[in-house]
Amino acid sequence: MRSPFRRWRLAAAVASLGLFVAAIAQLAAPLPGPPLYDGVVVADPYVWVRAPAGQPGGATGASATLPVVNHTSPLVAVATTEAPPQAQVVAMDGTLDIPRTATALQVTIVPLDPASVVAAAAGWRVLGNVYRIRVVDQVGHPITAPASAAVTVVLRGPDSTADVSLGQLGELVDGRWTALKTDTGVGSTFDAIVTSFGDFAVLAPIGSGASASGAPAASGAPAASGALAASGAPATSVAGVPSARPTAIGSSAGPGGWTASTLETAVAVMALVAAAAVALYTIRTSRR
Amino acid sequence: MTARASATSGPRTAAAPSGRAVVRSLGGLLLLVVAVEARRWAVADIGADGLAVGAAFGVGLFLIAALGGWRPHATDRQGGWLGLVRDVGAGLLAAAALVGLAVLARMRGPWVPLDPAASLVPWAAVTILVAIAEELVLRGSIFDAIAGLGGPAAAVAVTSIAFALLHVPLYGMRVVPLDLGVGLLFAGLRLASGGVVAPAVAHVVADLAAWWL
Repeated sequence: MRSPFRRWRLAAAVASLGLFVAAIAQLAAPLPGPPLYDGVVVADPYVWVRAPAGQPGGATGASATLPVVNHTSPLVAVATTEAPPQAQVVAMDGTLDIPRTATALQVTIVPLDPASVVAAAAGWRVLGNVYRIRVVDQVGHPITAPASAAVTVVLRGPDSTADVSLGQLGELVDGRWTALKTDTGVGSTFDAIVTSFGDFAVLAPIGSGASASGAPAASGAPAASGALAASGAPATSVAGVPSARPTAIGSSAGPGGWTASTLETAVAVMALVAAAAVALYTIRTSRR
Repeated sequence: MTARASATSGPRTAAAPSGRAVVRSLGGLLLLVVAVEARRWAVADIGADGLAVGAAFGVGLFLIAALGGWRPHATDRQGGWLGLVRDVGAGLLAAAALVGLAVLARMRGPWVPLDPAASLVPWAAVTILVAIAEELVLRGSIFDAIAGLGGPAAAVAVTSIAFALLHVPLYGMRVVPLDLGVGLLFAGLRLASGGVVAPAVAHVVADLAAWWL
């Protein structure tokens, strides 16, 4: 720029516009997570209820008893113990519809084998575990919430959920899996606003995942709020399990751990990038 | 970091050939896309360790920035250190604004913490590496190349859009408005300071804050 003043003026305008846009975006539709974050995604291997070969089993749930004060629902933030959690339910205080007689809320998250619940509709499969999330008062009365309360259920898909854009949260309603309007988060997490509690799972079109190179399923993705009819076929938990994963996953040393497989991956990636960089640099300098 | 670069031209010369600038800008964007997709593939498709992939991604971006012509410059003793302090301060101010926005959003609605399965120090080290590397590529080499072709406004627009789209594989399209705004903010810092220190500081601090938010 010819004039430092013009540069400063443009810089101030751009920065102000940016801050304004970011503020409007974040305040008008807050994203339930740190959306600017783009660093590493470090996650525990997915823990299954009924584990495929080579995958860890022993998924556990979570529960909490929360007191109700002044007839106002408390803050609900219950999550399973994995990092990141495989299932979470979050509700700000005062957002749940509770009976006036409620003195406490019992929140439970129970992982289920998909084979034990209704199968997904034809063309769809359940990824990972089904999670039964219950919120009841002290006498077992189920609790609900208005849509405006933005009560959120978050599920994490198995690590090999390749294309997050194809995954959707589903809720079992009247014996049918119903797709919820789903947003995606870091590390194959899927979240949706809910107005009631029950059985939830991550659903994806059959054919999506690591083996399909992220291509859309042949049947196409259904509308976000469309109902997915139960197929009545035998549970698809086995068929729905992602194709055989490299042993590197099963042999991981644990959270953040370095293993021979991860080192090999890192070296391979770095070597490819370095090779491309050297090639381009050579071409560039040879033209001088 | 002592990188300083003019707002309108590459770090080496005020009149880089336009053909070379086209190659640098398009090549930088293309390599950035490849690097982002490679990272997504490594983490999502084959489940590689997040820290290792992050470190490799950061190093790869450094190479891309170097290929694109970014070079650190020696500090100008006639005010360079003061300028460096000023840039760091501007970056911290911008980061404070972003963190403040995130806290406000958290208070308004359900918040799902990042909760990574890693200890703080290695996670922070790789996060810092990735954040700085992204700034060197976007607000460094690509910004310089496009500014040399189409002026600072074009550089601001392209790098801000690229920054927003960079996060789509992780979060989906819904994050585009927010990250577009953040990209513009960082581009404004780049324009005001003439270098990458201010946006890099802002980016690093905002990313590190995710651990506690």
